[in-house]
Amino acid sequence: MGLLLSLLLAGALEASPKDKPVTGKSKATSAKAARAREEKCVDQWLARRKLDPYGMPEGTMYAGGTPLFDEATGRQTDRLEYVYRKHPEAKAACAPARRAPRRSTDK
Amino acid sequence: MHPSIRFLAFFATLAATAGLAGHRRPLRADDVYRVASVRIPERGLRAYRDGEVIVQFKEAVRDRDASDMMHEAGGRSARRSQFGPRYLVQLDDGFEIADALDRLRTMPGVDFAEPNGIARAFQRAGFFTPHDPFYTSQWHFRMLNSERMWGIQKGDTSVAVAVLDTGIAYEDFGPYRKAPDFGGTVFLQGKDFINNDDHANDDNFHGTHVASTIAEATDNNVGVAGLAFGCALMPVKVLDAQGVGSFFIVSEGIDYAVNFTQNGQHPVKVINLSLGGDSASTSVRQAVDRAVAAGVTVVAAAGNDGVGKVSFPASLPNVIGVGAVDGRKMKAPYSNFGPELSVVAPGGDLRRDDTGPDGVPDGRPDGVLQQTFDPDTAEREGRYDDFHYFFVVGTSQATPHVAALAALLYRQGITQPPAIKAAIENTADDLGASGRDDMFGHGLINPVAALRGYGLNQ
Repeated sequence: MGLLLSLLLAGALEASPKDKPVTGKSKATSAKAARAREEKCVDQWLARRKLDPYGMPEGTMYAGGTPLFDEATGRQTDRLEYVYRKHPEAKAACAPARRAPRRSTDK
Repeated sequence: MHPSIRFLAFFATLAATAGLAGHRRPLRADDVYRVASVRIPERGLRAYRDGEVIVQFKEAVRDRDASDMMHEAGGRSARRSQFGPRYLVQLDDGFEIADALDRLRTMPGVDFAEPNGIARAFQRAGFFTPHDPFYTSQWHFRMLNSERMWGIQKGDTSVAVAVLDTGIAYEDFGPYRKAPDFGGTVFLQGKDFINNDDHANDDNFHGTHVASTIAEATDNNVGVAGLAFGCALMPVKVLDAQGVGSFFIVSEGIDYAVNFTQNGQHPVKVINLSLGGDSASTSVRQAVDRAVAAGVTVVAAAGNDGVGKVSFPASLPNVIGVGAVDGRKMKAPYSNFGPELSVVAPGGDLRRDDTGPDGVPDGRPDGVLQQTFDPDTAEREGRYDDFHYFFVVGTSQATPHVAALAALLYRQGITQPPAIKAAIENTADDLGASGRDDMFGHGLINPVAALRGYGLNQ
């Protein structure tokens, strides 16, 4: 009886897969997958419009080979951010909807 | 009149420079150097110290009379020699040395008067040390053993490097000004394929900085040095004010440089392409093929995305594709890599400070230091005359080091692009994995080894 009770208790305490806590590693993996999906969507969006990976017409050449690296400051710009700035419609098509920040008046 | 520009004297710290890293404009040398004003000679080495003359009086002249005469000639103060009636006279502002000498030489009692010449150390045999005040901050030249290299070859105007870029600050034209430290540099007739005219002036800053690495006027007591300073430059504008161009325009620029003739000769032997794109182009590839067939070496940047894909046209097999290393000879984080990478050269990293004496931080960011104009002033005020010495980083900056070496090899007697490429690759210092690898290609260029392997002038 005692053994049965402990087994039942252990079963009840064991978390189901969907209740598993999200670890840092799995968070990173899912973020990476989401990023890959977003990049694929953007690349397809650009290809349909005959634009290069930076959102400029195919056949564009750049100082240093890329518009993402600023040789003057050493700073790198994220490619999707760069494309979205030039083409907000690509963002609307590909960027995952972000939850609006909670306003202070929200109860 | 001699032009005057800002003279930069060291004073600040890395903390100050780090705080400025967020600005759009490049870190410039006077972010870490204090600004004062000096006059620049129009050409050649400055032979005399400004505002100073030496005068010797005859033994019979009393000190008081000597003092009056020096004052009359424009002297503000004077220092007497410990060994006779000879004085070093500091002239008052506004007095020219020539006028002071003329006056002194007509005065009775004056034995002789002369300008105060600058004494220089003798050059070490086989080495050449340039007298450019900020050369000591050009760690990217020291890394390449530049002084020994110049002892072998400095270049000659019979060899020209075409810089296909945003233009060069090479002439006074409209709102554009010639960069002061291009004083003695020879420029061939350029072409602007963006605005379709013959004035390839820079409206961005990039092309001037790149060209400066190749052939800044050197040993002129001004600013910094250029690696192949004896060679000529050709400005070809194929990128607009935002640093953007197209396959068609770049192809046009290549053909222009290759077909240019002067006195029946084709002086352009090297084309520098500190540019690139994501995809390949038949028109650019064919233009490169025509260049190489005509005996012109094409050098291009591997790209700055930090990814395992070399940009086009650096990826072409007959182009020397150049990646970048920082001051430690480590791969720069932004530098693209891959099987098409030929060699690496100093491109720098503004976040690091490893290039002081003996590897001790010197308070200056590890960018490539060359002259160009302030892009912020250009954008804000439409002025292209605000020249300074800027620390800039990228494979764009690594590429002209290799283009300069290629030009020196032509001067050394090699005439075919495959031989130039082989000389550069086969003498490079192996970095990273043993032998050729995708991160460093054949390694860091070694100009001394490349130049000593060829020609008689060793």
